[in-house]
Amino acid sequence: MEKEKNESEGYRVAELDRQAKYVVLVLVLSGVFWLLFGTLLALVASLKMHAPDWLSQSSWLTFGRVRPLHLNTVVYGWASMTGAGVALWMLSRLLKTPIFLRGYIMVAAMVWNLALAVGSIQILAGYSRGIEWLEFPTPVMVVIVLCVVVMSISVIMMLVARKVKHLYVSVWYILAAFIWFPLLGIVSSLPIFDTPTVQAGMNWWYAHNALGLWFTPVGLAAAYYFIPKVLGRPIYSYGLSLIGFWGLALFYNWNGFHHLIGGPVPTWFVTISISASVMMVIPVVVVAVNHHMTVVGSFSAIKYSPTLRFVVFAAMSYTFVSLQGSMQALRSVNEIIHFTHFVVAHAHIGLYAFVTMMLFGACYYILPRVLLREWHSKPLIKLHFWLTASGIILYVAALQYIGFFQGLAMNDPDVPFTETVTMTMPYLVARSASGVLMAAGHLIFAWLVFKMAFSPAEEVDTPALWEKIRKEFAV
Amino acid sequence: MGKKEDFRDKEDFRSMEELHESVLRKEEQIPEEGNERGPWWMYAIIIGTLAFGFFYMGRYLGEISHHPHVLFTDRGPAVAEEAVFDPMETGRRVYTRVCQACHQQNGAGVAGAFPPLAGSEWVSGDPQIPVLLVLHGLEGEIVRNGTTYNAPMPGFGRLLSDEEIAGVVTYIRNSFGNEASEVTPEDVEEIRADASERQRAWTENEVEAFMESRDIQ
Repeated sequence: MEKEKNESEGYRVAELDRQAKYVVLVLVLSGVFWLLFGTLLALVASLKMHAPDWLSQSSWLTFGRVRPLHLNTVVYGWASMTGAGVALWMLSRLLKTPIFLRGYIMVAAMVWNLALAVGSIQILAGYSRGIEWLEFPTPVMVVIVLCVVVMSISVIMMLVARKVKHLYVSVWYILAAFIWFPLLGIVSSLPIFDTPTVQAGMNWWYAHNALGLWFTPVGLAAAYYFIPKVLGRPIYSYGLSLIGFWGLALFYNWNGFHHLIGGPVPTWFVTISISASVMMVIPVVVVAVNHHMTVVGSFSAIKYSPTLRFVVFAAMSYTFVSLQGSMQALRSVNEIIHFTHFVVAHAHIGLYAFVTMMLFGACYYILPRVLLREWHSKPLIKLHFWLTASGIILYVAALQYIGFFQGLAMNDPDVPFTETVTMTMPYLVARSASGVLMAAGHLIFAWLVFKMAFSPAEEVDTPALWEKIRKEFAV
Repeated sequence: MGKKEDFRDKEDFRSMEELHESVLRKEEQIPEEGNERGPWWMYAIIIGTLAFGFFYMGRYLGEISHHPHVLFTDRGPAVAEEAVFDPMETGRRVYTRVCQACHQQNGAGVAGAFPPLAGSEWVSGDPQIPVLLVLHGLEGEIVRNGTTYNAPMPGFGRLLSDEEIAGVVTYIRNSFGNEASEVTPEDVEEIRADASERQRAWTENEVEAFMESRDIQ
């Protein structure tokens, strides 16, 4: 009896995956393309930091255009598109409902890609909006937001048509993300932020929230989904999930203004933001406890499951980057690290060590299920993990170490400014080296994904598990 | 806490069927969430964070208005030090911060672009000229000792106070082997007032013409 139920359950799941196939595939493949493009731009920008004359003949390839485009392509191309694909797939599984508006979403994804291509050319040609995280000209941004709105409508329709009573914690996060991001995108595109200080406020409200209210909820939803899924163990506590979610919803929105410490804005404006940034410790610690207690005792599983290894690395990075962020918001700390490489590294722990690694882990789980094929090489998956993990660790160690001393030197009136630049040189070279490691990892990942998606002949049907196959770890 | 079995404990009891299930990628359903309370120190952190957050907000809220103002910035001993005006010390700081990038640490300049301050007649001569150049900048070609220099120098009149300009001019007049008289903030104030109509950077001819017109007066 029990077995029969499981079997029909299995067929239902397979049917959901079949329906999700093309939506997930289009979003993930687009994401991987923009990841490669964004990585190339990152390498160019990083090399320019210690070889400033390289590629400076053409204005299209100057640092001031390449670096913003790197940010915009990895954020709105890789992380947003892949994240949306992963989120829609999880939602379909969790609500036991096929993804709605599949045709519209496919069209939206194509339009999205087109918008990214147009926006990229505009930034390289010098038509940037000049606001960090919002360099794409407003029309491009509006198009991207509308594409997400199509998915948001689908998400709400799925929620209405759901076949489950209990809403799992990942569902809350995904639903919130698909409401928050369109709001952020639309508000930041309104032509009402014309005075410089107000624009700066909007800038950091948007940029910080894009990370905290769009990528973070998708990333946490994935952690809450894949950890118990791979381990076959229940999430430690429903109550803690609640505190974690509402803590994020309550405190995060205020955080961005700590970027304006020392700027010409009212003191209360910054102080409230700093308080809220510190309060973020609450949801972060609660989520960390919840995840850790779920995995504890089963840590050996990361030896076998690529998904789990990436997800656990990402979840730990989330705790680390968030606690670091709360510290950085304090005026006394900010005084030192503001305008240094320390902050650059901090942003990369957030978007790379947390969000990107989480998405890698999710892809390793999802793609074999929607494609009904297997990954082509287990050692290459392992290599992908070690290249990207060691790359980001080297990146953060080098830049945060020197960033701290750079900050101290910049605050010392007796140190000439040139010296604060030259002292960072060896570490900027290390940053480029770490970039090469990560880029190599991305190439491997892209090869694995494209090989799996486009090679019709080979059908590998053993799951990509390292070492012996174990029931508990279905990839 | 639920079962705390290690994975190794399980593997021996698996049937052939179970092994095949995993090969066919049969998944576990996500189990229903537990409802543990969490460790005590987590609550301590929550309460501590709330306490700190509200204390910080109350302590540093400042004036609730739309006026930008920077509170709690410790001006520190820098103010006290500046109260006793030491032209060479002020000048050294200004030089490192503002001038050194072009004129170099030893005042030797860069051939073709930035003329040397060491041994310069303008620097050690009438103090009005270096003050004028710092105030408004210099552009156009100049030739010194057979070398041509042609990089524009911006004016710093709006960025530097009279004391800072007096300090830095005194500093360059008494460094790099130069020896000349001290310039006081009052001198700078006077020159600034006399040349207040000047908006653009000087050229070599213009600054000399200006000096001559002052001599006639």
